[in-house]
Amino acid sequence: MSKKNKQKFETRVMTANMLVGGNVVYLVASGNWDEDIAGARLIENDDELRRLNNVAQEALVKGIIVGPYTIPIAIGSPGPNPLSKREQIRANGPTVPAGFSK
Amino acid sequence: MYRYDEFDHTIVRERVDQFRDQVARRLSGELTEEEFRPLRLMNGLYLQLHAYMLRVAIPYGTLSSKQMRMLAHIARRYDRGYGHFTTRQNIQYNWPNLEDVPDLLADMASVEMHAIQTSGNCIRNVTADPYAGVATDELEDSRIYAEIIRQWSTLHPEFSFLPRKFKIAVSGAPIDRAAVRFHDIGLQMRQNTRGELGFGVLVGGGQGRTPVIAQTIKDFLPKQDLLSYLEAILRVYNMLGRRDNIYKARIKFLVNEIGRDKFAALVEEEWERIRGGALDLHRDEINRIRAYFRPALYELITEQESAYDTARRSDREFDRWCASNILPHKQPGYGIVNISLKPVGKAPGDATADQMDVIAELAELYSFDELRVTHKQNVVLGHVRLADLHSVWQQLDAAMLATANIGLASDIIACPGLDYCNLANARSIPVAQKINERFSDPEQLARIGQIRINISGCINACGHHHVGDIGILGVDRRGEEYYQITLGGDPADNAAIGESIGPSFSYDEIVDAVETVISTFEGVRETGKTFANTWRRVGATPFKENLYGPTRK
Repeated sequence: MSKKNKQKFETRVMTANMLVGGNVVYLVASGNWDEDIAGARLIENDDELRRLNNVAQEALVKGIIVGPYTIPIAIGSPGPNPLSKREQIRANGPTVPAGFSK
Repeated sequence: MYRYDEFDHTIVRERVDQFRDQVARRLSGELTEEEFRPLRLMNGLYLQLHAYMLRVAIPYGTLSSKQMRMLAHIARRYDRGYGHFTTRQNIQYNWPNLEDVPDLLADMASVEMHAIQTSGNCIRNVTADPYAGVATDELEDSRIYAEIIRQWSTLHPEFSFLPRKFKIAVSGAPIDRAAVRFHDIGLQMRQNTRGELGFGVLVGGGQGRTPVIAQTIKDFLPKQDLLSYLEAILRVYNMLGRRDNIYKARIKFLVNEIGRDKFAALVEEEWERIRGGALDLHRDEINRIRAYFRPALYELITEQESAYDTARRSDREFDRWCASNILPHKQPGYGIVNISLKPVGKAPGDATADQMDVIAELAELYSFDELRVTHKQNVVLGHVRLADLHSVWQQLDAAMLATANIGLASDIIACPGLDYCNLANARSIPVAQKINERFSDPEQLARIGQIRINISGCINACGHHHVGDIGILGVDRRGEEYYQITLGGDPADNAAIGESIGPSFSYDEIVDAVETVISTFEGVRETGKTFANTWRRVGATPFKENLYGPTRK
């Protein structure tokens, strides 16, 4: 997982699904889990990655969330924007039909 | 239709109670996610991209009005007001909360429904011809045998942990409408020289990342031997099927590896050991189940259905709907009504709670209180008097359920794709919608004629792309959605696996590419021929040339 020395660290955020609702959440600065990726805490180095992995593990054990993992993002104007289509859809809900989205 | 007996009720209620306890223990922290995950999957509960997804079994696709109303109630109370009918005659709810699921399942149980064996490496919901009991060509109602198989396979202790999931389809007619060649076991009813009915048994078919057409291992299996023979097949598979590699664990790999003849011989050997025992299907037992599927009490209709004919002559839209959505019924004066869940702008197979209520009401009023869900993600009213059709059509139309496109270019099979599914690489629903929109002109649809466009968002092929005339497979290229086109697939009697036609297309290109395929077909077709006929005659070349230019063969 850890990227060594010369390689540039790819900025990431921590995501998971809530245990009860199953809804997509992101680890935010306060240490809480929030549906809005805009406030997600940026992971910009290995130390931070290790720290947030520990936070996520704790939340997993406490039964707050399930399946935590990190995703690469680009910093956009409203906030982090996931690089992959899959994660963009996870962040914003189904793209169709309009009436049923998040 | 079948009604639960005390054993069925007990099994389902006890399972709800058991799962309620498991959910409570998960929420209290007593169970970890690793411990809980297999338990929730045994109850049809997945965790998808955005939320939990609950898959509920609709045995062989048949529902009563009361059950359909319950599906609507569940959509409203526990979900977001809609449900998704799947390519395996099930329904999926996309947004339930974990803590609500036990109550949801208790509500389901009150109408004899459940989510048992809708996931996991067990025998899944048995599927059947959606026109069972009403088709003109049928030998016998396949649901009788699908129900017998359901009872045998439900919580079968020996087959609860197979190497991989296992799907069985039953057809009671010579024309296959249940895709029996693309199931782990396909049963096709036939008559022997003595005039007795039995089954041709096909094994090892399937789609997924390695599509295979099933092979016949028994030409004629007498009905009384159905369960002992199935048990023998499952036992051989359970012992010899691979468990070391999930991608090679389905029965098709075993059949291919040891060969059909060897596999058939092993089944025969096991069968000789167990036939004539407790699994023998006695006539009384078949008759007991048959009684649940007795033909409806049809009216004897002798006079010309003049109101129907007049309505067709005077109402062009109604006439068009009848031409594409109504099939002949074995009983004179009745028709089979196909309700399309593929209107422009909606996800294929989705129905809102209000629409489910409308369909339930129409089934109650006009179709002997019974309806069916098809693997093409539409709904069928099995037996409607022709004289009632105009009224039924008007009521469907008011609920946005009267799209006249059954079997046509906009009647697209699509999996949930990347909009919902954890496994998907690319979206299916918006591609289906864009194609639907592109081919929404009724004249054009009629001109193109019968064609299957099937879309899967990943190689697992839930959208049946391998058996589409035009198959579309979503792939991931560096995080971007791309789509491969296959042509010439066929799920039925001329079973064929679609042939990949060339490099994939981007999300923005795919609909134009499909249009190119269709216009190529229209350019080379002979009068009255379907896409499938034409493909068999001309092959891939004209399609490749028009899609990629003459230099790329």
